[in-house]
Amino acid sequence: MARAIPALPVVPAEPRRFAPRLPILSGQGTVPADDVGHWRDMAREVNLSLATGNASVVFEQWWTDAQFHVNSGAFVFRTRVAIPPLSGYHTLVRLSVWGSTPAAGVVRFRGINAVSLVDIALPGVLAWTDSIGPAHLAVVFAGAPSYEEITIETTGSCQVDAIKMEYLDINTGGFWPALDDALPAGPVPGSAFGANPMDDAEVGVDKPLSSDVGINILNNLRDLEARERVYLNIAGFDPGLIAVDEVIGAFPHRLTVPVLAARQPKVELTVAVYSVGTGGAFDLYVQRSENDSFHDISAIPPGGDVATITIPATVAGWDFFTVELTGGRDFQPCPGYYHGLTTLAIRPEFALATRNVQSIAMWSR
Amino acid sequence: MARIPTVVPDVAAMPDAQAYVGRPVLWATPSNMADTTNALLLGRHLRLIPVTFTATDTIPEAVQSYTYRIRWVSSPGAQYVWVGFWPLAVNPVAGSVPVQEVAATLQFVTGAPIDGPVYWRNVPAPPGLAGHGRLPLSPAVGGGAFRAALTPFAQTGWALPIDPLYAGPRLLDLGLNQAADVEVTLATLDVRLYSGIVIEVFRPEVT
Repeated sequence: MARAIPALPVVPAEPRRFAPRLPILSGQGTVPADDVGHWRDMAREVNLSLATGNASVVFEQWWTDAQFHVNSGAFVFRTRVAIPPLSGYHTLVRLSVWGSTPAAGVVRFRGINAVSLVDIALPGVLAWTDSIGPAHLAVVFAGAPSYEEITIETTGSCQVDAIKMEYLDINTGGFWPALDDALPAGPVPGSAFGANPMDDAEVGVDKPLSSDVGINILNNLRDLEARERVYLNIAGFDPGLIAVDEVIGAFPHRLTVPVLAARQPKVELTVAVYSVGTGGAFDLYVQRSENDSFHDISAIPPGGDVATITIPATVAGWDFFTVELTGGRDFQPCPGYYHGLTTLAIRPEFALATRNVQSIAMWSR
Repeated sequence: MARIPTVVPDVAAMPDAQAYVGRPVLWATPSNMADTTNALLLGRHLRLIPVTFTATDTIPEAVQSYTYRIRWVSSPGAQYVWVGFWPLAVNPVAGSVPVQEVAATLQFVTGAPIDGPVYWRNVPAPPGLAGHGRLPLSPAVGGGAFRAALTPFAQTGWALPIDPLYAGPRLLDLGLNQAADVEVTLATLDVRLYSGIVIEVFRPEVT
């Protein structure tokens, strides 16, 4: 049974076509006059969301100024990053490197929790080099560990300017987006709500509306809403990574993100911090929205919407915190479904010398 | 055409019982469901691509002429592309007015252009050069990390590229290039970028 992923372009479901005067039947509404409920359209649109929803970039970091131009005769550890696993069908991330090599440079990625490995051989001319499907990097599935740690090593002469990691759209048969493709039958892996992609036959013209389709659509939508979204991901690079490096150091790292309107429950960000605790516990300030301390981040009033997170004296490890994402003063009017833009920023407490944070990620659920 | 409701409906707000087998079907049930479906596919799930260009402050803060790239696979519902970035462009010395510029272009990763460029400059562009916006400048004070802490923010805004003579920053138009490997290049002249972000946009009110 084909759980169709509709080819693009998709005609989104039109709420007015469900007006009371119209007969509520199943069927496909490709013909404008065929106002019979469009259940099949909606079912297909939900399948499309299951296949593509939240597939996106989870990490992109540039190291300009030739910071990441390195040589070694064997694989040497360079940096690390954390990404959230997605529920649904996503278990692979495509890896891309913007770089070149004068001599046999290879960048190695390891999925620590998934015990996976992908090598990318750099070209002689500066360009994107991608991992090739299906041999993308396997990452853990949503569930067991709540994150995937990916480490990056290099050998040879590597001139790396950028590394990107991305969950791709699910394209099982290789037909999509030009032609309909299909999701496998059965429950969505890891779904907390018992979501199922829907078969066209379940919403065929001869089916009455109340054939469990409605409740299944609801469950699918709940599953989609619960998926993760990455808001910020920084991996510092310091050749050697010895003792106290100043990655994520004195100045705030900022990013502007949209805040969705009327989101309930509130968006909660998971903040993952990799630190080397050579100096005991220290604080990080996370700015959740634009405020009076726009040019500085201070936990001292009237610093405003700042969350202070305390990093325990962990030696070389990930720590996880939760911070609520709140709406800030708008930079500019935004489309209706955004409450506005807000600023996320993070920096260590100035007073402490232990500025030894190496990688930071923030993602929502 | 389909719309995204201003207030995104909450999935949990629709009780299961409303969609149970054997229940009388109210028109509001599927209508709500359509709203929610659209909000999820076209509203919440439009992609958000955060990029950090500079991860460390141990390097010199010299401005750069460089091409930064923000790359992603466009989502099925995206129509336009919003771009924002944190630049460091230091106010030039009095008496000299070198051009400091950021030019954003939307293209395929193969290099074939899709839309743009739109420009931000510290001086007015010559008449007829579309897409001029004022580049926010940082004061030439302080040093090192202090100056970096003062980086301003620039963005495309949410205006649509309706009039070809419109000369301000605007959304980049993705056209029919959904589910495509695309990138925004940010080509700079004497400007350093610290981080950038791309947000996909669906504008139901104009479709």
